[in-house]
Parts: sequence; C-alpha cells; structure tokens
Amino acid sequence: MKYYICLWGVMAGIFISSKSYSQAVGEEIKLLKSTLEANHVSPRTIDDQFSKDVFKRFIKLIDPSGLTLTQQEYAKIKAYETTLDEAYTAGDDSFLKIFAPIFKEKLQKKQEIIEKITSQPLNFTKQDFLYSYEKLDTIFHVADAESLQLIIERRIKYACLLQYEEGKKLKKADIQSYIPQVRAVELRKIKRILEHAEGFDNYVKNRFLSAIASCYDPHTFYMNESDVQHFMASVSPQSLSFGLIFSENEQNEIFVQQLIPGSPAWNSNELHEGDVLLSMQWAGKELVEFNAASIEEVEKTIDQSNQGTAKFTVRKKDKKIQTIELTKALTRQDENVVKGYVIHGKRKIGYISLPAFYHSMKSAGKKGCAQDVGSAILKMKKEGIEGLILDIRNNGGGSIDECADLAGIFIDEGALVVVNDKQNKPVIIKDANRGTVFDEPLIVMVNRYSASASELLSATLQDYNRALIVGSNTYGKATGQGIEAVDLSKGKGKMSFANITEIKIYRVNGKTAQFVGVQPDITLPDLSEIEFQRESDEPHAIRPDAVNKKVLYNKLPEIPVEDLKQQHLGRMTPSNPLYKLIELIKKTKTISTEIKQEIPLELKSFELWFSKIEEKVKESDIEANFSTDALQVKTINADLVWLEQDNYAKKMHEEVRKNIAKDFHVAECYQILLDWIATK
Amino acid sequence: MFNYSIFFKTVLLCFMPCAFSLQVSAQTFKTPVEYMDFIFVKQREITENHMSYTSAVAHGKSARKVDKRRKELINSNLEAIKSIQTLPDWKGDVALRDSAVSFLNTSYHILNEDYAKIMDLEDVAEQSYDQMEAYIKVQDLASEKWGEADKRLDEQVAIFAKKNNINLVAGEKTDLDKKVEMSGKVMKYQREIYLIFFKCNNQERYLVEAIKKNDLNALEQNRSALEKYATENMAKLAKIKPFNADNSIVDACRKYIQFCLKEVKEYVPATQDFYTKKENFDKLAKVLEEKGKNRNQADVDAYNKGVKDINLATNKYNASNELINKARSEAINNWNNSTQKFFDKHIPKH
Repeated sequence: MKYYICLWGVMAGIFISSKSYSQAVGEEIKLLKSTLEANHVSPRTIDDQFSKDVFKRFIKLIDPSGLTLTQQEYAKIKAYETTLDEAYTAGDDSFLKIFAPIFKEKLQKKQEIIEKITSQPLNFTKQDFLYSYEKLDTIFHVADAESLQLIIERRIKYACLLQYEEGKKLKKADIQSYIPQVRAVELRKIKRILEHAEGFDNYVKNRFLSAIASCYDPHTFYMNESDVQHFMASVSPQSLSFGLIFSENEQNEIFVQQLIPGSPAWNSNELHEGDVLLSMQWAGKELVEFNAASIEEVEKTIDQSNQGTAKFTVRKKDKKIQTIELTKALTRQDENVVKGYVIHGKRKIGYISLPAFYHSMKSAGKKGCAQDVGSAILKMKKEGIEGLILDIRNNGGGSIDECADLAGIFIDEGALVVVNDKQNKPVIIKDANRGTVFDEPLIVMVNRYSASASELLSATLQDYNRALIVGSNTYGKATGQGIEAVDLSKGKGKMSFANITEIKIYRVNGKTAQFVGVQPDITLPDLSEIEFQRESDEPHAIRPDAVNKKVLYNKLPEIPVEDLKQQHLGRMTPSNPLYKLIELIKKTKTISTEIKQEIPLELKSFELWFSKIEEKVKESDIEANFSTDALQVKTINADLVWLEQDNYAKKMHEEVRKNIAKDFHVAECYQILLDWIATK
Repeated sequence: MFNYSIFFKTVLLCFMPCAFSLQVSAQTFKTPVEYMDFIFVKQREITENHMSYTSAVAHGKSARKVDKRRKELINSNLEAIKSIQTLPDWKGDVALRDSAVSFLNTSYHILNEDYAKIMDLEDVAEQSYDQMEAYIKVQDLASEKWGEADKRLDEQVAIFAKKNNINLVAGEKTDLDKKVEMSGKVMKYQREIYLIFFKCNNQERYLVEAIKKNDLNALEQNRSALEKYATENMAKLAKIKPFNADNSIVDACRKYIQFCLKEVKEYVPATQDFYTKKENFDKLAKVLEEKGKNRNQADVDAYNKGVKDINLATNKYNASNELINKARSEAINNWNNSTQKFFDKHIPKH
C-alpha cells in the first residue's frame, strides 16, 4: 500500500505546470543516478563492467531485431563500451550525440531497403532459408549493407508466408498479394521511431536511461513523462470497459499491464497480466492486427464502440495463442471480485482462482483481495467444504500488504514475511489478526508464472506447514519496487520517474524466494516448461541471500507430503492427462529445437514446414486433447440469487465454471486433497 | 476501572528480601555485620513504604493518598540507592554493595515504569500484538529481571556472610514481614486469574473492533481466536482452587469467559449471516437498478421480497446487538467489582 500511495502522491504533482522547458540530457543522467543510488536496495558498482552491461542492454533496446546497425557502425560505437560508467557519473551525453545521428541514418537506410525489396514481386520458388540466428529475437549485427539487405528480404518473405498461411482460411491464395501489407507493417515500425511522439532524440535518450536503470536489476526501470501520462489516463475511471490496461514492451509489442479487478477481462479468468495482444475483432467487423501498432492505435480500436462484444487474441507467456471473447461492461467497484466454486464428489472442496493481488481502494468502496477471498471462503464454509484449492497460477503478484493479509486468514498468528531495505533494518510483517478464517487442508496451485506476492504467499504457507504447494517451481522474484520522482525542474512540475527495487523480501525461515523461486511440495507437469524465462535467466537479477533477523513462528504439524506424493505418483498412469502431458513436453522440446534451426522460404517447403508445426500445435492443445469433465463444479448457493438476475455475470460465471471442471491440474489437486483429508 | 498497572508493581516489589534477620555477634561499628546491617536497614524502610502503598491501593484510599504513598516509596528507593552507592568497599570487596545497588535500581525502574532501562522493548514489541499485550509482557519480563537481581543479592549476602564469619539465621517474622508475605500471595493469586481474564478480554476487544469496522475476515479470524482462547482458559480456570475459601474472582472470570463463548458461538455467526444477507441484497438491488426500465414484474417481486427479508434481518440484528453489549458490560463490571472486593478482603491493612 505504501508504494501505491507514494505513486499517487508524486503523480498528483505532475500536472501542476505544463510549461515546457529544456533540460540538459547530462543533467537528467546525473539525476537518474542519484535517484537510483539513493533508493536502490543494492546499487551497482559503477565500473567498466557496468558500462559494458549498459552498452549491451542499450543496443538490445534500441535495435532489438539487430537489423538496423551493421558491424561497421557497431565498431564505431563499440569504442564507448567501457566509457559509459564515467559518462554516467559525470552526466556526459557525448555517446548519445554520436549515436543518435548514426542510428537515424541507418533507420532511413533500412526504410529504403524495405521500400526497394517490396516494390517488386518476391521470389518464392528459390530454395532459401531463414536461419535461426536471423530470427526476430536474436541480436545479430550483420557484416555489411549487402547482407543486411539479404536478411531483411528473408524476413519479409517469412512474414508474407505466415500471412499467406493465415489467409488460406479466407481463401486468399496469391502470396504476392501479401507484400503491401507486410511492407506497411515494416515501414510503420521504422516510422514510429523516426517520427516518435517524444521526438527522435528523446526516444534514443529514453531508451538509454531505460538501459541504465535495468542494469540495476530486472524490475528497476525508467519511466519518461509520456509513460506516466499514459498510465494516469489508463487508470482513470471509465464507464463501460473490458478492464484491460495496456503497455508496450521492449519488442514494441502491446501487452496487458493490468487487469482491473471485477472487470470483464478479470472475470473471464482467461487473461493474465503479461499476455501480448496480437489482434482484436469487434463482432461483425474485420479483424484488426496489432503488429507494430502503438498503444494509441490499440486504444482507438477498443474505443470504436462503447458497448458490444469483441474477440481478443493474445500470446500467453507460454507462447500459446488464445482467443477470448469479452463484452464491455461496467466494472462494479463494490462487488466481490473473487468468486468461489464448490467441487462436489466424494467430498466438497472449495476452489478459488486469484489472478492478481489487488489492493483496496477505500475511496471507491473497493475491498482488497484478502477480504474478497475471505468472504468467498466464508460462503463456501456454509456449504460444508472440507478443503480448499487456492489457484495462483499465472498470478504475477501485486500488493505485499494484501498478500500478508491473505496469508493471515490461514495462519493463527505470527510473522508472515520479513522485509529488508538498503538501511539493512529488517522489519517483520506480522499477521494483523489472530485466528483464522479457514483451518482445513489447503492446496496452493502455482506455476512458473506465479511471481512476487504469489511466491511470498506460497512460501509463508509452506514454512508454516499450512498449505501443500502443488505445481511447478515459481518465478523467483522476492523484491519490492517503489516509484520515485526524477525531478528535473526542482519542484516546478516536470519530472520523469524511476520504478526502483527498494526492498528485498524474505521467508519467515530467513531464506528468500529471490532468484530460486518456491519449490512445490508436489510437482505437476506444465507446458510452460518448454519455453520459459525465470528471474534467474535475467542478466542482472539480484542474487539470493539470507536475512539476519530472529523470526518467531510456530510451525503447524507436518503435512504427510511423502505419502501424498506417492499416492499422486500412483495415479500417473498412461490414461492420466498429466502423464500424457509429460510425454508431450518431452516430444515438443525436441521438435521445438528441430524447427528452430532453419525455416524454408520456398513456398512448397514452407507449406510443409507449416503444416508440421500446425500438427504439433494441435497435439499440444492440452484442453482439446486431454480434457476431462470429471469434476462436478458448482456455483456457491449464496451467489445464485443475484446471478439469476444478471445474465452477463451468469454467462461469465458459467464459462469459468466449465473451465474449472475440465482443468485436469485442478482435478489432480482435488484427488490430493481427498488423500490428505483421509489421513486426518 | 481497577488500576492493574499500579497494582502489578506492588506484586513485584512485595517480595523484597525480608526473610533474613541478623543475629549480630559482633557489636562494634565498622564491622562486617554493621556494614551488612546498613544495607538491610535501608531495605526495611523501603519495605515499610511498599506495604503502606499496597494497602492504600487495596483498600480504596483516595487517589491523592495513593499518589502520596507512591512518591514516598519512590523517594525512599532513590534515597537507598544513593546511600548504598556511596558505601566504601569492605576490605576490597564490592560485590555485596553492587548487587544491592543493582537490585534497588531494578526496583526503581519498575516503579517508574522505565522498562527500557532493564530490557529491549523493541524485541518485546515484535513479540506482541499490541501495546496492551506488550505492556503485560514487559511486566512479566520485569518480574523475571527483578527475581534475578533478588537472587544475585541473596547469593552475595550469603557469600559476604561466609567470608566474614557471620552467622545468618532465619529470625522470627515481624508483623510487617507477615503482611508483606500475605500481600504477595494475594497478588500472585489474582495475577494468575487476571492473565486468564486478560487473554480473553484483549482478544474480545479485537472482535468488537472488527464488528465496528465491518471487516468480515478480521471478524472471523478474531472469532476463531477468541473461541480457542476461551475454551483453553476455561479449562485452566477449572484447575484453580479458591483463595482461603474465596472463589469470587474465579467465578467472575468464568462468567466473563462464558459470555465470550456465547458471543463466538451464537452472536458472531448471526452477525455474519446478517452481513451475507445484506451483501446479497445490495447486489440484487444493484442488478435490478441497472435493468432500469427493462424490469419486469418478477424483478419487482424479487426486489420487494429482498426488502422484506433484509428489514426483518436488520431488526433482529439490532436487537441482538443491544443484548450482547449489555451482557458484556455486566460481565466486565462484575469482574472489576469482584477484584476490588477481593483485594479489600485479603490484603492486610497497614
């Protein structure tokens, strides 16, 4: 909560003055340095290594596809690789003064190349390949202008071929007809930089400052004034909405930054923070692709209609493509946004899914997630549940206070987490209330995308022996961030901001989930094992350490983990969807390495390659292939009365209910809980 | 309400070492006996003042009188520290003098509630839920510290006596000794029951706060905690025997815990039901409000039924609220009166 208040407090000051001013870039660099050093929990040593890291990071941010600069230019700017530390300390912007014109020239050159390539038909009969190192996510500084042109041509061909495959469904057969479309997207990407709303030089400067900040750790980042203004606009109250707040990532993709609790997007239980938005289609209208689109363009499309239904296609963190249908609706601020369901069968077990740890907004009459979960549990207790599944898979975190409050409803009393700041004065966050809301067996479901507050919750409940943690090893982020102003005008109104890692968070046992994550008690296979990134994969991730603080906490009796694990393994027979999933993961891992090697650019070979991929995708559609409707999931009785009167809410509820019923990870957790209850 | 803070200090300090009296075998001044006696005389003065202060509090003397006695007690303690501190060593031996000063210093800090001088209050705060609990914990820790200082002093007295061939014999108990001993017993007994009362009472305070704040999680958490404490402490209370055939404070405490159990088993679940009903009604009302002109007769009927149900539930809730508040006041007043009467009856007058 502290951080949230801090955010709004400083933001209120932004709009005091709209007077424009010019501030030396060097001064801004120095100010960012002093802000980072004053607040970062473990600031970096500013030396040659730091300089190299900033350089590498900057190149990755400014030219992510590696298709603007050639080795010739790279050699010129490489001279600065070990001087950026001194420039950072002195507030010297000479590197940017050298870099910006070179980069501008090369972007213009790239523009010309694309125009030239796409002004005539492309040859799709020639045997050619796009090699893995040329793929879009690889930095590769090509040798010279000639090879640059060749690789750009290959990528354009690849983009045309992909569109062609998509278009097949619409029976558009001529591959050449896709060239203008691809050309427009590629040129738009460049134009967005050359004619950036902030101005080209500011764009380059902001990327440089972002590179500096992110070398402190993966969660420290720089926010320029327009980022902040966009954020302010996106959280302002709206009448009818889908409840999605977007932001732009380093690859210039639009991703879901936040789901508004209680909104249609939230209630769908299908969207998560971090999902990349690929396209959108209003009912009865044409599909709009968001390749290289700006946030403004996305929002314009969303605002086209103030009501109605639209399909959103997103890429999930596990690279899976998913389409979700949403209807704009009023987000009810006073409604409990957490819904509970009761799984019937041998015993009644409660199920709650929590996509994020949202905090309370008392002024809007909105409760925090801990209150909402508690209230759902109370209703389920009335129905006689004997155990509970709390699903925080894909939950990327949120408010630490809410996380502590939520842990508190399952724990009688004592320390919940330990927080340490740069002054090295560890503070224990204790359970605010003695007693519990729920005492019966509890399973917390996690996966690789359960991060931050999700990891704190599972770690605390694990340390107390309060819950059995089931799923896969979590992400590994145990730090907290605060937003600090980088005041350029000494209080006169204009400023940018830095989101800074200010605290490290520890488990009550003194260890941390930072870098290492939380190891589940029982591991379930997860498709995200194939391709995923965890905190430990980040180049500047803070390393794990321990906190020197005596923490008093009373462990509950041991959970019979080994017995439950054995019984779980006993169920892993070939007919079990989880068993099939393990097989699929093994197979997909091999295939994904194979298909990454080279992509054919000759039409027939590409079609073959593509159909092979499609086949694999179909095979990997776990819901379609392995789904069982084994679970009898029911809505809580207390909710039925008002749901009967609200058709939209009823429909959403029904969708979620069906999805839970066919989720075989949930089904296994239900079985584990039955085994656990039987031991009592 | 009865002032437990003042009373607790007397509990601590009524155990001043007074069991020893000296069989003086050498009469000359500046002998080890005289040296030791000097310390004992100072202690006796403090014990006198303690007893009269305890008596003033126990027998309902006016606040002005109680305060006057308290000041006298603190002054005599300070006086004793000063004079014992200035004692010279006894043939190079300072252990007896220093342990007496340390003991008196501890007493002095406790009387002044200057607990930070004898323990790490931050540590205590981290182990406690709120100020009231921390205060109780501090008092218990202070009692321990005081006990340790007392033990050290006793040891030094014995060592000093042995070294200097002084024969320590347990003497006849004086009237003052008997009064102090009795007061100690009364307060130890009361303290044991008070802690039982406190644990439930403090937890019940949280429960009431949660009800006031309309905080459903806190309500359920504190309800379950109070149920646990009430049940555990009821069992503890059953094992406590009457004090000189007087079971009044045990009975008063039991009545309060019985009230708590009724509160958690009947009143709170009814309150939770009421909140759920209200929440559901609010949702229903909102949904129907949003329907606007599209409302049909069935919607109107559903709304009217909702209004009727919620009105009935509200009346019932208000009535039970009044009853529970009355029952709480009665149980707490009964405990306070019983405690005051208990002290008045058993603490000797001085």
